[in-house]
Amino acid sequence: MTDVGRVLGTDPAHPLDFWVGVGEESYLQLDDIVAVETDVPGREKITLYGVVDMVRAKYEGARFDSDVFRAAEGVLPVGIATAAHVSVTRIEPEIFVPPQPGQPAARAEGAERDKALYFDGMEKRFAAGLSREGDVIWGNLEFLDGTRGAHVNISGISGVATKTSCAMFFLYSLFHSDVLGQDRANARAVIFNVKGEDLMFADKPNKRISPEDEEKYAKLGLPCGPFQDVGLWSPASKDSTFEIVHSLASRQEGVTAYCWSLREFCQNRMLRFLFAEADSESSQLSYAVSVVERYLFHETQGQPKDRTWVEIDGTRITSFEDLVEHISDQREAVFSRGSLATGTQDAFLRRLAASVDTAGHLIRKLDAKEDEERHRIEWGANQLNVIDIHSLHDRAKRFVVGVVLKQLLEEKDAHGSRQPLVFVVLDELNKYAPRDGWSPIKEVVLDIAERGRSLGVILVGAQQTASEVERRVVANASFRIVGRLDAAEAERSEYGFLTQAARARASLLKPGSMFMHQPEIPVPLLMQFPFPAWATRPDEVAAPTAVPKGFKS
Amino acid sequence: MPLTLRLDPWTPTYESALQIDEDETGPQPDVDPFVETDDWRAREPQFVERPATIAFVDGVQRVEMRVIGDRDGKTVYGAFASVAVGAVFTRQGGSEVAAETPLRILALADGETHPAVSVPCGEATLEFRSRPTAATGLAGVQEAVQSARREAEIALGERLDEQGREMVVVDGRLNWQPKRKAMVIGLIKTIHKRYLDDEQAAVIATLRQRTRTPLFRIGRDRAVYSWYLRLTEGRAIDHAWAGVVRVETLETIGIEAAVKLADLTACHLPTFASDSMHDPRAPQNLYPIGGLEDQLRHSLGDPEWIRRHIEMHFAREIAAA
Repeated sequence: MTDVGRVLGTDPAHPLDFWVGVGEESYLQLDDIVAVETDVPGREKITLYGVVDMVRAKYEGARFDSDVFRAAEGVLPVGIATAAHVSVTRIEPEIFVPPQPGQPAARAEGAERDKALYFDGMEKRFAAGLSREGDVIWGNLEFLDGTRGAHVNISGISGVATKTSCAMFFLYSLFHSDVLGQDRANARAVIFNVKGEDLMFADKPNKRISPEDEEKYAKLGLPCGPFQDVGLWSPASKDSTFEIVHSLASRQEGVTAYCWSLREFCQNRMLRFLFAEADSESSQLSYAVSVVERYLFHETQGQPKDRTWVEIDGTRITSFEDLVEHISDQREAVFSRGSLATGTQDAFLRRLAASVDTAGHLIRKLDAKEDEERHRIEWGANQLNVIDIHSLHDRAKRFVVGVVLKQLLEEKDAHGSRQPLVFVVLDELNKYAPRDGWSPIKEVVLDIAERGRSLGVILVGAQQTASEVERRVVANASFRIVGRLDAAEAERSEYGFLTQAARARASLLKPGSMFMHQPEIPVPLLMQFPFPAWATRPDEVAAPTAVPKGFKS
Repeated sequence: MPLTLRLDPWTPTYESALQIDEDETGPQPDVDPFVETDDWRAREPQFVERPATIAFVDGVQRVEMRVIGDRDGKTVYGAFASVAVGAVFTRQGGSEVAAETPLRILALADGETHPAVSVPCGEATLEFRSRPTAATGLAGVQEAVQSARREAEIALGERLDEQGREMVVVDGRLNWQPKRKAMVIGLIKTIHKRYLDDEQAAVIATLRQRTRTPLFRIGRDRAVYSWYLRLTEGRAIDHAWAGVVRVETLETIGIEAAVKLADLTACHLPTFASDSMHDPRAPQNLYPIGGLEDQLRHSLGDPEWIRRHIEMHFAREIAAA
């Protein structure tokens, strides 16, 4: 440890925060880790560890602002005093006394830094990112995998907060290190590609990676390459009449088109996810949805699984459009089991008809049972499953997210054990689990947030503004991460884990820099993650090499 | 002619910068006003390059607590006092302060002495060493403190001179003999004596900023060349001598060097003149000196704190006896 200054006596020192006068020959910058030893009369020496969250410098001996000019001319003698404010993270042993003014303060490095940030006590830790000085910032796996906590919540302005990159790096770190141990091979992740086609190249190495980036990966103890086991899913194209093709423009190979058969739609009660806009729970419309869903379920209950079309009331239905038409024609039979006002029925039918255009191509008759399986999203098939929804209409997006999450949760529920872990990355949480109103997806997301810990379903949720997301979803996340935030948003209580200084800095964070808060560490840490080693655009895709750097051959 | 009133700009807590006793008796100083020229008028200085570094030397003193001694029924006056001296080195782009460790003295009048008194004071122990003076009474105590400061100032000035400092400005009269032919000047803020006859003295009032009077010689045990110069243009409401200082340098440097030095001071000292917002004795208390005094006074420590500890020390002594 190198001494950098002494504890100030002109500003009071507290057990939880104090000021350090910085020596002339040294410096302290924001996020530096500081350790101070101090005597406690009658007890042993204690060490206070902390993070620098403010640094100030001023003239001593100057009284007026204009003195700066006199000082510069050498007319007025002044001194320069630099001081750093330290937020205490840990006191070892735990005797809560302030450090004595005048005690030397040292920059904590190596094992001392690990102590200061509680890294020493983490039995299973994963590399969450790097500090600005290039030291690894660890996350405690026990708070991620459900042992003591679970879930990640990421907030930040779109475009500059790099929320998805952060989530992807977490997954990469977990899947390409030994932290998950023997469960690593079976761990799965589902991520929805909501913007551009960014995530559809995660299995390709990035050719823009520089030697410095490679060093960063080495420092993090990670190989530097693409994701190793990736499944890519893209919605079936609207134009696929005979053969079902996916709708991805920038890539052809290795992508599977997804859609569902009419039979699955009816038998698995998927109708509700076509009506997944947030609504009041008691609304008549949601009642109409459940009535019709029940009707379809009953009508198709006995149908053999190898038939991908449905027969309702003796009518063979082979397209979603026909199904909608049938429901409209048979409205009396359909709604007979519920007492619904005609107005509500009309409203329901109107919306159902509208969904033909937006989501109809995802629900269809398929040629054979094999096709049904081939185009169904199998989240367990690969480790990282990227589901592209960016080109879909809003209604269809909700439909896909809702169906996939429900299926995932049901399967995990049936499986009954926490391992293997499934990570669900869901951006735009404000859309899927809004603070106000009710929707079937919100129900599923809430279910994951509240029961996911025991089911082994880990939600990595992201949104621009946490204040617009259901409180219970955010509150259940052990890891809270913020990127660039709107200044007004940063003041909200959802970001109570940020220190005052961190709030101010949150509005000027650069892409790739984020504050991470985890349960054991009382202050948020600024971390950066390295440039993606996997391609995020077609022109980043590097020619495949035999074995990517850092991977075992 | 009616009485005209003008203001004295110094803050009244300080004495006036102008304290000429018109009824002064005793030997008049031996003054020769015509060493530079017979033509007594305000002089525009020849421009002289500013030295790269100018060192300003000054000291502060503070009585911490007065003591009254008793020797065989005779009252002895004394005081615990602190003295600090230091220097500021000013150069273009920034200046630095070199302050010496403060001196703690137990000033005693009537030639009395006393063993050093160690006063524990928080983390430090202040050792007040006795400093006797032959002078008597309360004035003797004052004299002992002042002489301690003067000695320390002289010692520092000599040291700077030996270090080969280009130019040294001493606060007050020049009481020592520089060894080298360095530019050492004394800067006198307060005008106590009338060295010039009315005719020549009238020139002082006519001085503009950055002009000076011709040199005059003052004969005393160390004879000096001296001159008045105006640091700042006074306000219309101020008296005519406001903003004027007297400068002196030893005769031994020779009249030519002295004239050059006078021009240098006229050119450059006004740069350091302080503002009344900043200093209660503006403009004569120059910025570097004011800044140095602030730091020196600060280095003496907190007066309340020291007083308390002196009291505690005495209380313990008495309790132990």
